[in-house]
Amino acid sequence: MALRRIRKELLDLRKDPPVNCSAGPLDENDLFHWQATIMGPPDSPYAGGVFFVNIHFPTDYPFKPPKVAFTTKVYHPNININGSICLDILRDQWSPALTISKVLLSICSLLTDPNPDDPLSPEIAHVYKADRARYEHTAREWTRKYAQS
Amino acid sequence: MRRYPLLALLTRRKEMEAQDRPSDEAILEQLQEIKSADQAPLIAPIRETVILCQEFDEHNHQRGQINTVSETLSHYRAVKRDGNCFLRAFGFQCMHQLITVGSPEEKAHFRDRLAKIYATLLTFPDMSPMILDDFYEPLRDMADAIVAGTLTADDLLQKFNDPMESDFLVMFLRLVIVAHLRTNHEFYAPFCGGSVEAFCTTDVQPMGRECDQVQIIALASAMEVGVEIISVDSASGPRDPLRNVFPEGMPPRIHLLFRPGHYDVLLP
Repeated sequence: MALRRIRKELLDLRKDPPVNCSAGPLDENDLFHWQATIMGPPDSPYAGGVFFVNIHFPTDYPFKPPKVAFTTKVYHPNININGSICLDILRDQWSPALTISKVLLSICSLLTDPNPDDPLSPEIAHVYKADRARYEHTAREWTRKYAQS
Repeated sequence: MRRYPLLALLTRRKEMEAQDRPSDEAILEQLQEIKSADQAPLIAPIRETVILCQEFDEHNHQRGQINTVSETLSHYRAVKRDGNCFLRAFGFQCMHQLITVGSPEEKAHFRDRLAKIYATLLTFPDMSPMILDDFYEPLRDMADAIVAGTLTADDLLQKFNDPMESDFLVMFLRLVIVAHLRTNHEFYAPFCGGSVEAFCTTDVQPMGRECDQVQIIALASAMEVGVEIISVDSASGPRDPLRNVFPEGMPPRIHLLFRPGHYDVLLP
């Protein structure tokens, strides 16, 4: 069942890819393991960067959420050093009616609008709240350093 | 009065202590019970309602209320406590009732409601056949089989007890609620903390999210099936449980027993 749904999502993504994102299996023989790329949103300090994201589907997908983590370093209040993302729809608000496409769009929104009140990196959240210019500067710096080839 | 020598008393006390301590068999049995509660069927076989009295002590109002309920609804089916109990109970009993006593018109109406709701769902920009069909098709096939008279009550029970199949059915019922709330958002918004959209995201679409009055009214209204919720609650009187029928004024075809945080199916 999980595989059937994953195949459908893959076809759908290839037919109608979301803006600024792409995703697919790294190895066509392992459809449970995907890689996605997210272009830094233009209206954010991540603009110009290309961010890689690992996606792992559980065997009871879509009843359980996919495991999604950045492999590119990102300076962001809701993303930690391991690339883990604090996003409600990847946790308790996951629904089988959601898709990878919607998850990627939500991650793009999170890049544009961090949620410093529910941080995964408290220090970055603190900088974001106390000194926005410094946050933006560091985020741009990291984007240049880690997300541009 | 018979007198015990001191030694005999002590021995007897030891015996009593030994009796108080459950035997290893009893402990194992209890462990098995706890484990099997976890492995409890999603929809259990029919049992007598009065059994539920045992879950409350004799001074508890709920016990008297259960007794009252059992006078007219003498049987019940336990539904697994996994946050989906209302939806599973409603879905199962709705179809069971159609299979066993439903008129041809009622059966056709059920199938047609589902088709109409599926069509409504497809009009929303965040829904697509890619997402919906996995959840809609199994239920549509069952509705067709009910109309054709080829789905038996045993088939139904089996499907609802298959964890995978059962969850797909539950998920479509969640989407039925989403469709109804969105279509009638002006009416429901005040009961959804202002935003129907946010409510659907947090309290309807995720699996395992318990259903409260808003979801119950939405599902019963969308399916046009009257449901009576009989609440046994220590706050109500010693004999009379609280009874509510949704949607208001519709004769109930389904009766559910509500205890805080849980629903079971009640049967005559």
